[in-house]
Amino acid sequence: MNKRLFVIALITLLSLTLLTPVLAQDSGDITLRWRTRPDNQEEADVYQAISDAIDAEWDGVTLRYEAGGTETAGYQDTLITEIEAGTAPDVFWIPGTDIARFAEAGLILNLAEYAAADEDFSVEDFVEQPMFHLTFSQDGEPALWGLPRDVSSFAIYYNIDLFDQAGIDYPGGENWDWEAFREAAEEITALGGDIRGFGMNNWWANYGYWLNAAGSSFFTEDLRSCGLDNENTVVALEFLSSLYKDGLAVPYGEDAEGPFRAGNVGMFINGRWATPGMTQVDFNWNVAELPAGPAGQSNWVFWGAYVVNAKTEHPEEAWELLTRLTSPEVQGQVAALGANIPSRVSEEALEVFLNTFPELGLNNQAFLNGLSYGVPETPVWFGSWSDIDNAYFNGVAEVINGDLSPQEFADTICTEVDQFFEE
Amino acid sequence: MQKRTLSQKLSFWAERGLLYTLLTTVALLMLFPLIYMVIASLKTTVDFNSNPRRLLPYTHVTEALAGRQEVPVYEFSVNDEEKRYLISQIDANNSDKSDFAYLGEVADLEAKVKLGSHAEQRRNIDVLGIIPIAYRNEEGQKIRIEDQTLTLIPTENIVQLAGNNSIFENFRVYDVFIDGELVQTWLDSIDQPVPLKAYMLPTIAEAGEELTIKVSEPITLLDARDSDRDYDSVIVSSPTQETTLVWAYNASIDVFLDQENPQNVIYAIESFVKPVEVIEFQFSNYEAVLGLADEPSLRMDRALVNTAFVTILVTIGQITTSLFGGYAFSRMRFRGRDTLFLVYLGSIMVPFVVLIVPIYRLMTALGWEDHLVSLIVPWIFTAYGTFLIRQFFITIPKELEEAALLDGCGRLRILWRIFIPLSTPALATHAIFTFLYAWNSFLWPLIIINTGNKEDQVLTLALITLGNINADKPNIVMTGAAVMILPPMIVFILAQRYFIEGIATSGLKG
Amino acid sequence: MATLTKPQAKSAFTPSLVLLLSMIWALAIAVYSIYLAWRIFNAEAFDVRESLGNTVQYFFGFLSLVPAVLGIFSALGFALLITNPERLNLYQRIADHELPPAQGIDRIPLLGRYVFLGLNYLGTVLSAFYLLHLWDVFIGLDEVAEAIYENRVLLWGLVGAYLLFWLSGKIIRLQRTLELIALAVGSISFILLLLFSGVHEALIYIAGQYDSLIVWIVTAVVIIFGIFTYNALQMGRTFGETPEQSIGWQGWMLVSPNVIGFGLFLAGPLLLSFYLSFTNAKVGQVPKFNGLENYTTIFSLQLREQKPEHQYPIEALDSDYSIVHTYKLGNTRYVLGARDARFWLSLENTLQFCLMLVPLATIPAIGLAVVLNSQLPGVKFYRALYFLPSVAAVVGTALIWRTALYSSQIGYLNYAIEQIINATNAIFGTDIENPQFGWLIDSRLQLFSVVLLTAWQIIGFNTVLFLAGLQGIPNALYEAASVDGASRWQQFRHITLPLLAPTTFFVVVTTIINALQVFNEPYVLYSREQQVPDTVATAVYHLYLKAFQSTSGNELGAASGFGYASAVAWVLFALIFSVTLLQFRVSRSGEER
Repeated sequence: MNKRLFVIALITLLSLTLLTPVLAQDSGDITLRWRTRPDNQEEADVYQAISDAIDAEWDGVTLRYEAGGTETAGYQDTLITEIEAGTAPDVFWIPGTDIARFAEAGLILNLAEYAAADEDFSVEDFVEQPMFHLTFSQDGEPALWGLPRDVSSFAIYYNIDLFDQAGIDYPGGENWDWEAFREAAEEITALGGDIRGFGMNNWWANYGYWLNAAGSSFFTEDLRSCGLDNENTVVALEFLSSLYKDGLAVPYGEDAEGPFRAGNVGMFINGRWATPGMTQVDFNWNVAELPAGPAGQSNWVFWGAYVVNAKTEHPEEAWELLTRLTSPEVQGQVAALGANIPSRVSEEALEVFLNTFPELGLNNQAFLNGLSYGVPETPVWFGSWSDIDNAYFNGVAEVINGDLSPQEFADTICTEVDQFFEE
Repeated sequence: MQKRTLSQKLSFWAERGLLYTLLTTVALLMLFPLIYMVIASLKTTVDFNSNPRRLLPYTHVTEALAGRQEVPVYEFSVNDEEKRYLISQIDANNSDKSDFAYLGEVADLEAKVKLGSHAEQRRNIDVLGIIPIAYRNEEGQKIRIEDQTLTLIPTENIVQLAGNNSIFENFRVYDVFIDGELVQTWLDSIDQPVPLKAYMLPTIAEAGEELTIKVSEPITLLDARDSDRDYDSVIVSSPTQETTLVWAYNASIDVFLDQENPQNVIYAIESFVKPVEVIEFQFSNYEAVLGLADEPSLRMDRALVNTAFVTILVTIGQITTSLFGGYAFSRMRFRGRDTLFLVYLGSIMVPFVVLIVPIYRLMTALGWEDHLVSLIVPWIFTAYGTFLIRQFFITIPKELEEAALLDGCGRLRILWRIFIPLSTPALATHAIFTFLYAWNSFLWPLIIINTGNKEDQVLTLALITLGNINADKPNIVMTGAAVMILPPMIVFILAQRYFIEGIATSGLKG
Repeated sequence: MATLTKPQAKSAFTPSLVLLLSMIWALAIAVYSIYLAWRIFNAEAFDVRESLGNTVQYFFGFLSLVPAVLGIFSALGFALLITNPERLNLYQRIADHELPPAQGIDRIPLLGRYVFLGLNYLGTVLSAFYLLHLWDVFIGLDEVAEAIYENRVLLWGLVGAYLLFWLSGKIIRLQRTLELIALAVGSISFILLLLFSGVHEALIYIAGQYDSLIVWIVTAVVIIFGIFTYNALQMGRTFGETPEQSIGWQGWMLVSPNVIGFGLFLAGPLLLSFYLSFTNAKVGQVPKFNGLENYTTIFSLQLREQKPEHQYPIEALDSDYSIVHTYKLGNTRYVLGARDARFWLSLENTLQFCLMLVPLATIPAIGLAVVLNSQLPGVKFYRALYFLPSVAAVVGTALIWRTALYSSQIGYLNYAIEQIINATNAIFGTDIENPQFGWLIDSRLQLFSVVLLTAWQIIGFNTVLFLAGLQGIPNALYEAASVDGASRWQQFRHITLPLLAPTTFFVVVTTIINALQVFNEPYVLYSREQQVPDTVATAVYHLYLKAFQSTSGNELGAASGFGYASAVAWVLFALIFSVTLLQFRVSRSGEER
């Protein structure tokens, strides 16, 4: 081959490859896709507006917000399928319990180095409990798996009209413990008809609260094994199942929200996310803290985080998007919806939250109090949460339906569940 | 024809009557969920949640008094006189004194208890009233009135406050003493007819009179929920009179105005009195869901068009491929035919769930994810349909075809001219199956179409989204379900005469 | 094709130039395939997502070698023919019926031509598919739907046309006129729809795609493939093809749309899932081959006796086993444990589901079919009514059943039961208590509730199948029986049931096959609670859970991920397949009898 020709061809090719990045940059902005799971249309609209606002002020980056499906619409399943196929968005939100399995499988990026390089960022700016899990590291290397979108906690939604009819004190206050709770439930159930004193759903946090308030816990302190094999579990489940056995509650497993909305339930345990929808009912209601159990007050700190897809082509921009999505202003905007509580330790955002639904005279403080002593939603780093969750879920259902005694549950559940933990 | 005897005739008609009654009853039972769906989709949200449940859709009659907003109308009897009343809309939540009830003279006990369900068993008490049993002090703590004495002293002060619809009204100021200590100031509306609950005060006392309230023995009454209940009672005394009042409960007491004579005010418990309702079908639900009304969050019209589009293309595609396939499998002898057929049959038995990930990967490789084409092209190649058509083609006599072949007809023409006209029922059957399959498929669209992608949504997805986002409007969710379920039903009813014939003649029966 | 259907007509020899060109083209295909295979084998990141592993890379590599081998083979066939005019002549005479079909002569050229035909046909289809892809036709379907949506008013024209057409059948006098109007309305709205939907814009868009070279190349390739396919079709005579042989390739061509699509969209994914079932595939990981481990995990069962020192049954099992069941035999209690206990529980649920569903979905269907199998006026209408539940989507019906029927407090099912009990108590003075069934929450009822919903959905379908069966029973039999004085019941018992047996058998087997794959019903019925309780978790639901939820990345996720889920699916497939096989056996033996 002609040597000169060969050299010329080589140089042309090389310069073309060098030109490629330049050309690519010429072709326009970086596009970042992000996704979160809105609970209703209003939320979806707010997130879209946030996305548009950030997009407008951020040069060189185009944002594309995708409203993900709801939980029942297979949000995580779709995400997994997309990650597997490489079509998942750059930044997405996942619930706290899913952080571990996504991180361990290498699906999300460890952001520690980006955070370290970012002078404006400080872990202390965010609520402590989620940050503990978001910076959890199995191998001792610094880790940061994402930033919390918001936090939430449980409260008792109560039907003021029913309490008035029964002529009893509203929930909350000094002596608001399990006994007081049971009494209130009894009084309200005594109103007769389809009226029930109490109702809740049956996913993990619901029975989890009762277990925690009795001094038991899903996990041992090191989070490496099952923590339910103790007498406190028995106490909690005996109390809880007696509520159901005595007909004081909407049957376990049946949707309690419908009857509560229809005005047939005195007290309904649910998270802050249920508040906006509750404005539609035509009776008077308010919220109160969960009752104190034998081991004192308890609640959950629910959280979910924005994380970065491990396969993203723009990790630095994705990190910046994370910080922008969790900025005080954005948190204020989201808090104004009243569906969630800001995850940033920010007075202004908290103030916005406390002033939501003024026309209802809502006791927003109850949720904040709940957070102060709440147990954080826990990602399981040393086991498979979905299997553990499944075993707990079915075990508790058996106890409440009377197919299993609380004692036997406490004695055997850990033998079954410990195989889902790593040695 | 022989003449039938009377008894034969009778038994003939009796038998027919019985048959049709039976058929209708069973059909109604079978179709109950669907009937329920249609009716529920025509309800209002409040009606849907009503307790006890009723099948037919009712709406509450509303009416507006001059210059005021529309309010619901109720009907109940006071002093054996049944009348219609308008409820006075008071937003109890706006009141900072919502723990207090207002004192008021309610018609009389007889009338009052009649509002409950057991008029016969009532006990005589002079006057039924409603009084506060608790109040909040300045720290916000709730204090029950136990043995304390509440004293109200109307003052000469009149203030103007905005009432409903921002109309200014005059209120009298009262001083409230408890055990001789001034705790609060209450207001009472002077200008009837619409008293503001929060600021209501007794009309028992004349201005300037001192009113004393003392707790007395509880009184047992049978309440509307069929049980004996102890009600707190109080003795209210003014210089001129002394009355016993029963405390019912506060926040749920509502003020009703006589429809004809709004000056006439009655107090009653809203949930105990009968609302005036008419049967009314809320077709507006469909307008909302189909996007005819301006409610973007509910719209399913785009999903409806998409689903119809996808379904029609899948149906046409499946019919085409399975016609060719079915013909070849039934009439052409070629090497590997039987093996291929066995593979086809086997593929029906693989649970679809396991294929999700591989097919999804294929879709992304083609760039089809999140596009309608992913709901169409992969599903037009069907083993089941091919099997069905083949079974039918086998029954067509060979002679027909051989004659045509001898005449020099091509295979395609034989298929077009002989087989297709002969197999309308089988094709209709196959088409309906495909139609339903495509219209109702749910797991695959859920995975492949991004839920946020409104452009490419199909009905099953839209319904799930609708159900999640409108959990507080179950009637709308039912409307969504109806929008999804009714079109295939209509298609089926139009095509049913081919369909049942098709099953009868195709190989499906085994 | 006309030449083929008139085998007696003579045709001229295919010129050797065409044969030569064909040979060159076959070689070109082979060379390109080898190049492709070479590229695939050497690709560093063949799979951009790096999650399928080398096996799949090799698979595709070898797959693209197949056309290479075939191309060379058919080129060889052409070469043999070109170099041997005598053989060419021989074939021609066979084709012209001057000689009987050849016995024992060299078949390579003939086969080579088939291979060439197949190659070109496949090539045409695939490259046309690719061309459509380059034209953005597939993605463009979204735009079509959008356009229809924008002009949805015009759809009413089509509906109106249908109504007019329907009306024309009713009014005989105006039939012709109405039909014409219907046709006019229909076609005008359709044309308008096409116009407004922007057909011309679409065409301009496609033309615009031709600014890139690849589109030109692919278009050329499609045309070349097409020409050679056509040519190969015409060459039957040259190669001495017999009519039987011609029917053979025609058959393949007729099934080809189906087979190609089937292979692409179903067989490929099936193969992949079969491969994955022997790996530890999980989301985000490169799958490693782990032999039969998934299958051994599934089948790890142990039966142990609960010894006195064991307070609870679970203590009798090895540490990584969970309880499937406990059995009591005399005084000893046996514990059945499994490593994936929930799989066995779900399998048990599935079988129970079948056992309950089959009678519930068939017996009422037989009854209905017998009643509906009459020529009385209006019965056809009822047939349609009974089928309606089968038409409704489970996503919707589950929603309805959950709110309207299954709620323990306000559901109509409990309401009806309460009314019946009250009536019974009032009439007979009994004292039956209202059970207030918890349809969706009582662990003893949950599965039954799912069965009930499913049965309701398929009874109508089964009724129609039985109706079809009944219509095959000759009326004369009944007439003869009633002359003999047989009662209705005796007729049903001795004529209907025995003659309906094949249909019954078919219905039962289809019901079982569908029931073994049940997934949607429990999933949708319980989706609000986010978790399907163990009592109704079916086998397919279990594998769904394993595939998508237990994706823990650590070693303990051995029994999870796509790999494991695929293995579960294939176990399930084996089960369903054996049921079907049984059906074939029994129905065969029935026919022989």
